[in-house]
Amino acid sequence: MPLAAYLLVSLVLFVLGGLGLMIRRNPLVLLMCVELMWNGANLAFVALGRGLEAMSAHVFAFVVITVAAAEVAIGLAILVLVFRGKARQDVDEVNLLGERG
Amino acid sequence: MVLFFLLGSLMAVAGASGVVVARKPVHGVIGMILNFLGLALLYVSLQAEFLAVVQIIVYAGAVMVLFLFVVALLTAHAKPPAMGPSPLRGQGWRAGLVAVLLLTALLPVGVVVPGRAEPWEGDFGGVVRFGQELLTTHLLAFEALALVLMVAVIGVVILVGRPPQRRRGARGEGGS
Amino acid sequence: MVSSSYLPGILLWPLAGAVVTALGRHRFSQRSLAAIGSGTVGLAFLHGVAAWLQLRSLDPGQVLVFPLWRWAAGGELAVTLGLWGDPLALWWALIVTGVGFLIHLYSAGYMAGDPSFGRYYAQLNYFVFAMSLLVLSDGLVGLILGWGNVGLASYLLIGFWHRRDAARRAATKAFLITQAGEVAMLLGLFWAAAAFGELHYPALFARLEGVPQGTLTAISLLLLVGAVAKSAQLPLHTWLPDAMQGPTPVSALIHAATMVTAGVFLVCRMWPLFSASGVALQVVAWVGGLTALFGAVVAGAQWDIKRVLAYSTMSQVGYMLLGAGVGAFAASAFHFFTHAFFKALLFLAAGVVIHRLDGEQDLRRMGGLRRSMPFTFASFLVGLGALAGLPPLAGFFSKDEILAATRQAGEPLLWALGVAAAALTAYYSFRLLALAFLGPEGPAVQATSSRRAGGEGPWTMLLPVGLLLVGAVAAGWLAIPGVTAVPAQVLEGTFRGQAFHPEGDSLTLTASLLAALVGMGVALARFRPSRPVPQVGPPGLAEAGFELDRLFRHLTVEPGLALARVVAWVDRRGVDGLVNGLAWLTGQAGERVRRLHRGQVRRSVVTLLGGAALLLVGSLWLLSSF
Repeated sequence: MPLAAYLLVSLVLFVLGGLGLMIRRNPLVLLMCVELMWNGANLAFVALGRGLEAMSAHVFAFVVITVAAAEVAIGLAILVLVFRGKARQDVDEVNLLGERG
Repeated sequence: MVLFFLLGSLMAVAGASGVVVARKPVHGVIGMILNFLGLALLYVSLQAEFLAVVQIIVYAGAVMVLFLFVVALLTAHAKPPAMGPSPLRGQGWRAGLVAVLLLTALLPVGVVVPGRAEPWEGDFGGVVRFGQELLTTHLLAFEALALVLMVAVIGVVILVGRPPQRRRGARGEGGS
Repeated sequence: MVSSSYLPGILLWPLAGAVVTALGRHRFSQRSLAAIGSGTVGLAFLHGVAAWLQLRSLDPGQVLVFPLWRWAAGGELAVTLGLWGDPLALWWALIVTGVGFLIHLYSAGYMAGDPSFGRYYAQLNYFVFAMSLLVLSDGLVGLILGWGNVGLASYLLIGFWHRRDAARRAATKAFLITQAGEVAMLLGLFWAAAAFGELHYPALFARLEGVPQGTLTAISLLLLVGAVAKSAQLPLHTWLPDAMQGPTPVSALIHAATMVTAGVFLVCRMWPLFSASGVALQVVAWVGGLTALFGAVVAGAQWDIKRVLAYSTMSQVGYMLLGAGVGAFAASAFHFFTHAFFKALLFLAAGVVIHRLDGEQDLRRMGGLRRSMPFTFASFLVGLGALAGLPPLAGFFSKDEILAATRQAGEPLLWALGVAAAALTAYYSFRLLALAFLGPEGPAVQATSSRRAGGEGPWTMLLPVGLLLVGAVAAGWLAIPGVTAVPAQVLEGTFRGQAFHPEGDSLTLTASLLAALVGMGVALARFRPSRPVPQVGPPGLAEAGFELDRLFRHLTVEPGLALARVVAWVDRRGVDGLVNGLAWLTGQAGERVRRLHRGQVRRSVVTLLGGAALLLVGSLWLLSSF
């Protein structure tokens, strides 16, 4: 298979993740979309690493997976903090970083 | 090879679409698992056997279980997602515009890449080569990862482990 | 060059007094404020006397020094500050602190009850400090520092009653005119630094050789502009009559006895420079001679007692410059010495009169004070006699010495000017005496005579007047032609035989005495006791100071105001508009940016990804174009 095909799939995953990040309002789904984007990038790494016969690409992907795992842990913790006790899970109602009022 | 690629990419894209369109987070989680399995298949077709295994164990296993727990925790008493109109107006068409822009910007980069995914040969992608690479050339990155994970664990404990009163006070200061 | 620890005391005691009285002006009683203020100046005077004695005990030609610190060093020029106690400097410093002490004492009575008593003493002490710095510094930089500080002190004290509009205007006017002179002086200083590479007096004078004549003249003339402004000489004199808005002791100390003679001091101090130029000295003499005559003419037409004395000061300082201009520096310094006594005496006595008459200063409303104020009358008689140059009073000898020097230096025209001015001086002196003290009692005297029957004033006012009275009588005996020549001998250490010492001159003696008697006779005849009371009318040409004031107003003040209006308009419309416009733009931009920062996660994501995509497009386009 040509590597371009893999990259195409990676691109589709990345853009889908970004789109989901922009249009969905559920924080859990947002986190998952971030994961999608990570994975799109990962696929591109691995595919190009295969083309270049470079094991470093696998290490990059491994680093990404680890960082993603850490991110998920922190992100979920924050979600639990922010949304526990709230009936609706809607990021549009959360603007702790915005101006007050 | 081709079969692996076709099956894997189909599963990955279908899973991703499921995540984006699913109305319930639980369905999103299932789509996510599908996506991860498909990616693992793609990795296998790229002779990245160790990464494929890690993908399944870490992502599909650990991370997604974590997601499921949180989904259960947060949406246990939640009413069906009866959401009002969003305060953000024009978000939809902006999102679409950006997505199209990204796609058109990245597409030419993707399609011009030369080279093919060769069939399996040698010990490329094996756990031995991976271990050598990780613990010699990228040792610093490895150590940094250890640090990142530790910070993440401590951070989570600090975030969630505090007594509820303090937390509410802290949120009050945030001015939500 | 002998280091002397007495020199800094002359400066530091008044400075300490200024600080203490300024800080304690609300805490201490008026008695203690007056004691501190006068006592510190008295101590400074004692230090001056000690330094003087030390200097006399040294070999001739030695000077006292006290190095302070190295102030700045750039390139080949190093500016060091230090004190320089040669005979000329100490001569001036002794007068400043001695007369200053008497006037501080007098102020205790004159200013009693003033709500700003402490501020007054602080400023007066500050003036003594600044003036001491001016005369004692060992280089042009220290001189300019003192020069600027006395200007500030003068500004503060003229405007002491700052709620009076006239006082504020007078203070600003005096400050601006003297500052304009100071700008010229600064230019002279820079030029001197460039031409000589030294600003320390002896080093500077040692390098006069080899500098072109034109440069010397230009530097001297620039310095002279500063001197003319400070000493109220033609044509920069207009601030001095207005400066009489300050309290009378201030007029006595600053605007008669000491500060206005700073110009004379400058010329005497820089005498090698002026002498080397020659032309500059000529200019000094003419400025002095013309001012002496001009001041005497205008003084004879004034009705305000203090303005008469102010123009008289101008005229007398003109004499000093005339003396310095013909090379008789010692005679000039001597006239400064005697003038300090009799002019301070006149001002203080005038202060007693004004005090007694509840602030009345118009001569037309006075008269007949001789009976009720015999002591003040005696003071005036002596002071005016000294001013008019009647023997054996102080002014006679010193003025005579200057006139003799002028004639012997071969300047018959200037000599004639001086003699004419002497006649006019006698005229206005006795006109003042006749108007204020002789004849029937004037309306202002009648109005206040019932309330102040006893005494002419408190002892703190009368004692200094008495001491100055003695000085005004006896100061001139230091240089009786053919008998004594103390100033010439004493100042030899500074002028090193270069100063011009006139011999006894019987023609000058006769002429000036005759002129004085004629002036006196005319005055007494015109203002005899049975005269008709002069009416208040429109001011004549001489009374208005020949309208020079108005001329300057039209030449400088009005164009300045017009320019200021234009600049103000440009500032309001142009600069402010620009600034406000920029502020408005920034505010609007911030308002726009604010909408991006509402903490909405999804909006941030759109921005982030859109930005990333745009960057990508941009970088791809850049890559493809190479």
